[in-house]
Amino acid sequence: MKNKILQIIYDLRTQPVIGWVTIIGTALSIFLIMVVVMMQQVTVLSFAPETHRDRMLYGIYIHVEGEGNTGSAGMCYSLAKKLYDNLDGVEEISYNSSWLDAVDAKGTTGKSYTVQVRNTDEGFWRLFDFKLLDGRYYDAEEVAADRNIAVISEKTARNLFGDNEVIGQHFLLDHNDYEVIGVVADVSMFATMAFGEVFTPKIIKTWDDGSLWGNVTASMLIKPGVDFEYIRNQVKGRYASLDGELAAENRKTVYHESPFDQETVASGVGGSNITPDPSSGRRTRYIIYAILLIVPAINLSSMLHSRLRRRVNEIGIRRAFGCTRKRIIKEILSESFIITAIGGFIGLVAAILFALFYGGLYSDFGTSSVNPSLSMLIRTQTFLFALGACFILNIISAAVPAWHASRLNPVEAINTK
Amino acid sequence: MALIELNGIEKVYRTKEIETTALENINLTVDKGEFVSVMGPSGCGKSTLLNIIGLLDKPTQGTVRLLDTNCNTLGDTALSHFRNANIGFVFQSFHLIPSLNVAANIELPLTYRSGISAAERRRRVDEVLERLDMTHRKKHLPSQLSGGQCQRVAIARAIVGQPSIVLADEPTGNLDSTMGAEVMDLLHDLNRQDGITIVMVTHNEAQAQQTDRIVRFFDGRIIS
Ligand SMILES: Nc1ncnc2c1ncn2[C@@H]1O[C@H](COP(=O)(O)OP(=O)(O)OP(=O)(O)O)[C@@H](O)[C@H]1O
Ligand SMILES: [Mg+2]
Repeated sequence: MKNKILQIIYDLRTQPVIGWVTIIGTALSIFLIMVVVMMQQVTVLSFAPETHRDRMLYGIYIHVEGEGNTGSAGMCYSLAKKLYDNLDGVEEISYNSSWLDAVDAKGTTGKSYTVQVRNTDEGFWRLFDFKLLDGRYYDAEEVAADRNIAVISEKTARNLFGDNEVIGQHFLLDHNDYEVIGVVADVSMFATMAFGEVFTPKIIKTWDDGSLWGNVTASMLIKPGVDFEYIRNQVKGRYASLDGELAAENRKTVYHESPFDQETVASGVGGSNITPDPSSGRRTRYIIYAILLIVPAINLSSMLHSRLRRRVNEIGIRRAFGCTRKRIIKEILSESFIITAIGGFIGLVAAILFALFYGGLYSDFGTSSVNPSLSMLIRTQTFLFALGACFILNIISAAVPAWHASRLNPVEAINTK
Repeated sequence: MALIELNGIEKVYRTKEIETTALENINLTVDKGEFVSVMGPSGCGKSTLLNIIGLLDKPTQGTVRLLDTNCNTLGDTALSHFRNANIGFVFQSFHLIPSLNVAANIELPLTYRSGISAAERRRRVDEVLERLDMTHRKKHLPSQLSGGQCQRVAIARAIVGQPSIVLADEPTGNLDSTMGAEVMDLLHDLNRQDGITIVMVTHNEAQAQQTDRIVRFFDGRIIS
């Protein structure tokens, strides 16, 4: 190990260009891969307030065919409840708006701000891990009463009220008077299913006009160990009984594997009238990873080849003193892995910094003001993935040069200057 | 007892246009503890012979027996292990590994041997360094040494694994006469004190005269 590091330092000193290009090339490749990986991870790995993404299911759309009022879109409150309430195996459920309303808000500071409003029920606060900084959340009674009260984010509180006490204050939301009852810590926009700047209990009436349609998502936390298919089968049963009701109007539902898991939601469901296929997103990602690995690997391979050309004599000497072919391959692979790992580490750090400062550009909102936090980026998975990428990069770039080196004729190698 | 036995060795190099017969019907036996020198004009096949004895190259025909083992039947891995255990090489242009310091260069054969601890390897390297009076150069890189010193390190590397055979191809060819004499003394030392069998190629008649036996080559054949 020590000798391998000495060898690498010696190489860097005697062939600085090739050495540094190798390291920087590796770093760049790992950087690109890790940016893609981390931005993907942010969409599926858990972080507060979406602390249990692996156990979440979301019922978002309904698709109805037949005569008259048909189509596919979001659900109204009562339909969402009909399809998703009281399912066996569900630990917690909340009904809340699928799409946020961007609405003008004006507080005591007198300035108007556009805020993202989410209508929710009281279950929302149990389902997601918000951090209450001041005041309280609304309860079931207040939801039922459709009261004009709001829980707002810290940033919104500062915008609307400056440094003043916030609880009990009033503000205008789209020209309607609202009272602030709670303040929660800001939530990353990467928490797409929980994010909001103003939360109001106005979920029932706002989204119930007697038709099937609305903007209500049923967000569910499934009990540990319960199979998602078990939940879906129950929902399928609910669809069947809904069909019974719709039959009189010559309408029927089309089932699209609802509710969806986090990966499906994150990969973009694609439309309310199709069955989402997260595996196609996965395939695309794997192809991107493969391209990001193979293209630099070809370059690194020729780089290693020219580094080894300088060391043909050395390889011959090692063979003379008893180094087997296998050992030559092993030594070259492990030596080149050290270099790959150095480059990979640089690339990973660069990727983390990039995501930290520009990751917001990859959010649904496309703004760098909502960059992911360090704790969202630095995961065991991140390191394992980077290590794995280095490993694969090393194997595909070093295997052929190492194999060639091991097949050198010792006599000719020793006589090579 | 015969340590090296060559029987009917023939070596033909075939390139696209020409065939070169480097060795023709070589029969040679070297006994344990012998110091043999090989002489002959340039291109007569001396290095080729040494490479075949050293199991770095295969003869086109004939058998190579070393330490009562028929080496023709050994595969590449077995040959590597055999070289590691039994043969030390000394080259005209030293062939030290430029990126490794003196100690690491000497240690090289031991790193390819299984069942020997790092501490034991270090102990053996120190012992050889001491013996060759190179301890103070232990951490130097080859580029920081004189030719004579390089060859001493190369000899240290050749004997650190305690081989029974040392093959030296013009070991003094790149050295001035003083340093050459020093290297010769060292080789004689190893031969006498450790009983190492040595086959050395040389162009120096005086050096050859000091050895037990001279094998003279001409055009791929032994002439005496
Ligand atoms: N790889 C090879 N391919 C073709 N011919 C070769 C090869 N190696 C050696 N020869 C030829 O074999 C013959 C013997 O070469 P060898 O190197 O053994 O000579 P030598 O006696 O060691 O010469 P010198 O004293 O100059 O070192 C020469 O004619 C040489 O050109
Ligand atoms: Mg020669």
